Amino acid sequence: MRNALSLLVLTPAIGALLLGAVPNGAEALMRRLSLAVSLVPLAICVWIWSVFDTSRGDFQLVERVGWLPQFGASYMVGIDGISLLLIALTVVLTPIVLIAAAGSVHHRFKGYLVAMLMLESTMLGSLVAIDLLLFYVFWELMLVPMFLIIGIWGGERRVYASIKFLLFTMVGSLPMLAAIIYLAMQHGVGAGQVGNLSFALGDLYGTHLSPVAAQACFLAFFLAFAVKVPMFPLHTWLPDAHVEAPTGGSVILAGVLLKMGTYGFLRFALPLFPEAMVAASYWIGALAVIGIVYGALVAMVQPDMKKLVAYSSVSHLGFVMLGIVSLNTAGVEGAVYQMLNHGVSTGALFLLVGVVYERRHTRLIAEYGGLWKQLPVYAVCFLVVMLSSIGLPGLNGFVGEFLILLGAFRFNHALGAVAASGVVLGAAYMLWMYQRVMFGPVTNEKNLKLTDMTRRELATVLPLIALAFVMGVYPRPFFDVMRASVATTLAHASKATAARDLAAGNQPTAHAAAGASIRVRESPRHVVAEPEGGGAAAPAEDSAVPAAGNGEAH
Amino acid sequence: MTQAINSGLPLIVACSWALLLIVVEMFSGDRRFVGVAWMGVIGLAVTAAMSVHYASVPAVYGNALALDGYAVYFNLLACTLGAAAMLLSIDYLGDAGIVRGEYYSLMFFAVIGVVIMAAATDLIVMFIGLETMSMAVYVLAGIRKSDLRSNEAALKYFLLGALASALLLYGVALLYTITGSTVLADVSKALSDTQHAGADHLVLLLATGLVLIGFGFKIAAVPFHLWAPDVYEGAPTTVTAFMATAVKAGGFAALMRTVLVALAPMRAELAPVLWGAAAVTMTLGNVVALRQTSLKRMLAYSSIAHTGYLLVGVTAGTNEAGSSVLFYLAAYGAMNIGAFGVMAALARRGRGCEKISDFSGLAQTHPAMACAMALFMLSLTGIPPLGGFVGKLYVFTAAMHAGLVWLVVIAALNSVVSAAYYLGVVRTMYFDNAPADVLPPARPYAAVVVAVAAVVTILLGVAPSPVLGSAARAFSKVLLG
Repeated sequence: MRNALSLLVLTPAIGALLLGAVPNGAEALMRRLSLAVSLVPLAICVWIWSVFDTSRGDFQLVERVGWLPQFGASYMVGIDGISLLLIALTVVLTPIVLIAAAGSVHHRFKGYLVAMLMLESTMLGSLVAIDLLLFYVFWELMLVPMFLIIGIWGGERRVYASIKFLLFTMVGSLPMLAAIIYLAMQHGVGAGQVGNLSFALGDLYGTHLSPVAAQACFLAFFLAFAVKVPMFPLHTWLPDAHVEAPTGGSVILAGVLLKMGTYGFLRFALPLFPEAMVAASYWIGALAVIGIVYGALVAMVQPDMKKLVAYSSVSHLGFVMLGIVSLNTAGVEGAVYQMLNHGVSTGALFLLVGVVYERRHTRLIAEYGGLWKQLPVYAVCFLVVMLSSIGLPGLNGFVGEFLILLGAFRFNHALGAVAASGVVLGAAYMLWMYQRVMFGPVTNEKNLKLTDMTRRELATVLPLIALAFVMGVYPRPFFDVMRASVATTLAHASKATAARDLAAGNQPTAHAAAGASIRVRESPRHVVAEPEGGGAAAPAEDSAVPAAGNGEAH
Repeated sequence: MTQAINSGLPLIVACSWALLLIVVEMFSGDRRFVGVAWMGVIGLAVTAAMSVHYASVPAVYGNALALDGYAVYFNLLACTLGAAAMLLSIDYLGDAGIVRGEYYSLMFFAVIGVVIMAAATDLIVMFIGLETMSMAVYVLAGIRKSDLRSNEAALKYFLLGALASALLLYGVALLYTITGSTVLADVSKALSDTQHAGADHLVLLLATGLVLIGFGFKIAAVPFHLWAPDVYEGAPTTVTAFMATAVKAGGFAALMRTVLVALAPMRAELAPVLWGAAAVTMTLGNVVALRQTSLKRMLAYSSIAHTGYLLVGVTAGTNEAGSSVLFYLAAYGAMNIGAFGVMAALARRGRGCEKISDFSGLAQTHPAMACAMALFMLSLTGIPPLGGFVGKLYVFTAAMHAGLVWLVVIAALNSVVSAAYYLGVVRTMYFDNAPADVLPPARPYAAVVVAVAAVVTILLGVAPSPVLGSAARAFSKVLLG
């Protein structure tokens, strides 16, 4: 299995081609074939996880084949712990989406499955690419299937939403291409080897750039990733895309595509331009916090469930960004964990909104009410997923949010405090929505005829609920996988970060270069114990955090 | 002596073959002229093979013609594009009401013109090549005699083209008065050896300007692009495909030799002009293309925009930039032949299949054609990993190396703008519903050409090294010094 990563990327694409050969009428065959195909990457991912060496923070399973030797670009793939976790998320969500397709896609069924599998291929490609040009290739290719999914199988304003999605992300990523090329051209300049281009990520660490150039390049990367995350104020494409996308499209969009932005910050922006990133960290942190509060406030007033969940994504991804820019172990590990959590919880939320939408063809909260009595199973599933999304201790969301807030307070008290208020707001809009949809009398006669979840619908949601529990009570294996990689990522910026925190008068924290590895091993275990104890055993360093963590749940 | 004959042999054979085509056509009973078309394709293949076989570096016939790597590259390119256009025409012509066998012969002559332009190392020979190509294309553009639009297009093309040719010739003549030669290398030497001041300098500038205008017309650079949309729209689709690809390649072949070799000493004066032309050409092409409803017109403006991208490479003028232009022309040729090929494959009498809206819902009725068209549109936009992306990457990287950062920024912004209209076509094909009267099935010959173009477009993106390498080798000996 020396080519495990290439196999991982290629199998969905090959499956898509196979699927294309299935005659148009045979929907049952298509369903089974697509599901079978999507289980192969899952199996490969399990194998990769089993051989993954968690003690190493560098890239593993690296493959390299020449592609454009004239430019020093090659097909070079490899993974570390961070990408492995996101790969796992991708290969788990794709089969679920394919199962869900049978309920939510009513025309051009085959095309939808093909597009989904192609999308999986390109997403996995972006996650394994460690050559900047190759990454850009997958990054751009990723847009095409998503564009088609929104545009063909979307709702009323699908064309508008799909084009907006495409233009936002494409405009965002072109400057990144320019920066990538510039960076490749700077490679070897310090060593006197002008014109010796290289796009390999490993070659480009520590490339000699003037401060202005580094800042310009960082800005270009920032723009591309911030649009994708999406960070306030570049988020306006997201609600449109989510509302118009079919259920499966929303699940993948929220579950994986948005993570590509935050992943990009960790994988590329931070290691390549540590000084610029550190210098901008307060600004990015501020934008992230604005996103947290703004997203939550706007979510609160949404009449449409899907739009509410979409804005909640803006808020949750704000947390992830805040964790990343705090640039300490707790913050970044929390951010990575929260990426997974958001994929699981929000993915499940979109699936659940899709369940009632398929029955009533409306997502307006006002159209519902009293579903608790009508659809008890649905209501319970929704409850668990919602609680995981707002970070109830014992479920996955808590661990991530807690760590992020811990990291954020070490980074900057003001940002941490405002962000903590976002947790409360998050609980408020979710619980309020739940109350209006589920409790009270059945006000709309149409809802009396609603049937509870089918087996297929349960099959899509239950795995995610199980994951939410596992990740809530036993996060250890996930942190084991990411620990060394997060430490390596942070080590790229350790000098600049230490200088920043010294200037801000903060206490020296886990990220201080020399002591990093020891602290890294300590901190997750620290936190692992807490969720079970309901947050009582929280570390004493920041007493404000557990208080906020508990407050939101009640 | 043998070398002189050898270098000229491909051209001699090609010309004889083209004449033979006329004769065969006269006795050809089948009004679809399938045999004639195939004969043309075989002739082009023979020409290409011979030029590879007899390739040699030194110029012959008193330094007038060189079958060097550069010429061979363009020879292969033009022959391939010409053959593709001929194959596209087989089914298309009969249906479009064009029952004239000289069509293939004329196309053959046009290819010969391109080949001469690329091989010429003398301005007069280059002009002969240009005229050979142009005359043939004038007739081809208006070959649908009963169609008023076609007539208008041909007449417009002819009148403006003749004017441009005259200006070019005048420029060459002026250059001769100053330098005493029309051989590219000698012109360059004369220009760099002596300082031209005062009136001489003015004449030199005038000559250079006239030459640039002449070529600018052929490659449809702004502001000499006005003919392109009308002619592209009025000419039969297969001829448009040929014009957009092979004719443009010929124009660039001649332009690059002239500007980068003969006028190399004038670089300082020329650079800002080329810079401006590149910027204006791509911007205007892209912005106007946004508003088109006819696919043919849209592709015409898109082709103007691509002229702009190519001019970025010419402006940079380095070895790397020159070979990037060669590669770009190949990628551009594949995707444009493909795009026009889809139109030709679906066009039927009375339904030109020329409006973008004609392609509504194509994804449902013709999934393969729609997929291919989407591929060409994505490649034209520059989405990786297709040929168009690598082409742009190569040109822009070379320009960055040459220090043209701002021009690259403009070009990159233009790529974003172009996404809007290229993807508009994808949107129409995939998101809109098919009309009640479904388009007929694709024609077999054209479908094969489209498929090959699609494969080439992908290969040029995924595994471009062989073509990148040959483009680099082809250009490596062109620049003097």
